[in-house]
Amino acid sequence: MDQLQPQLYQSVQEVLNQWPQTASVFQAFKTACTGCYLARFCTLKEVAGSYDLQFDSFLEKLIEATQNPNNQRSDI
Amino acid sequence: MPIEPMNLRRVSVFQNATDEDLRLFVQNGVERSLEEGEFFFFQGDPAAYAYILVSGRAKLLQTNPAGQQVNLRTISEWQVFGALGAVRENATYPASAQALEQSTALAIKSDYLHEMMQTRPYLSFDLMKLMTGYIQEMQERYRELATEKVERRIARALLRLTEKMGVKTEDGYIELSFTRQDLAEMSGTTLYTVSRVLSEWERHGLVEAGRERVTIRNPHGIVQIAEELEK
Repeated sequence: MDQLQPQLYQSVQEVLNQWPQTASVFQAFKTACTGCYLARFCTLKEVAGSYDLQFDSFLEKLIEATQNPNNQRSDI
Repeated sequence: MPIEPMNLRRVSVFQNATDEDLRLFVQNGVERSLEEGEFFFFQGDPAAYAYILVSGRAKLLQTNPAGQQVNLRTISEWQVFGALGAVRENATYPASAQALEQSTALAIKSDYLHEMMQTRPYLSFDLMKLMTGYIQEMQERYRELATEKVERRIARALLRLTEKMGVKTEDGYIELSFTRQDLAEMSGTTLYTVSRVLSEWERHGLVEAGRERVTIRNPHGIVQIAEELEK
């Protein structure tokens, strides 16, 4: 089911499928999530934990990206 | 049990097919059911049929003249395999396909698919996408074999298997079933080396390795090894 905005329990694959433009956010936070074999298993919460990210700031940037479908670059 | 035509839309090369086309594929296909260890086809056989795995699991393996085996790929449900004959005339299967458990596949004559491709552009495009995906994967694996450390190759092979077959548990771990021999063949190394590496990873809490099952307790840890990420 499509969500209105990314949720912490959603997998990386679900988020990237629904909002492809969020790929730039994953890259800007220096994760290896885009193209990762485990994208369907890892939730946003787990990604933040694995990469030691500030979860609120990570989620905020993801949500910002979803509001701009043509966004190719993320200013982090 | 008869195959429900609409289920074929779960197959990547049929996702753009009409309902009528899906019915035609089922009508013109033959169901083949095998027990674990039996073969759908052998390396070198004429590629007379393209297969879609409807249930179970299979693997594609190649054998060299000395009898050494290499695992090319694990096939999961709703994946196509052995489709070369639909694209190339007089093709032979470059690998054997063996059932890893009780499995059923829909076998569609290569000639029939080839004929359908003349009037269904989606079929040509989607088969091309499938095959270029294989080429890309083989190029990556070749590069790994030529340039990368064995631990990294094993990690990447494990991740490839996990992507296709892994199941997440309530604890957040990922479980999958395969033999150490499978992993050795997929990563171009020996059973001894795979066992040594898995034991090492188990000591570090990355995995729990059984005889034919692995539980990945620290998925990100395996990714760190596979991608040489900073720890």
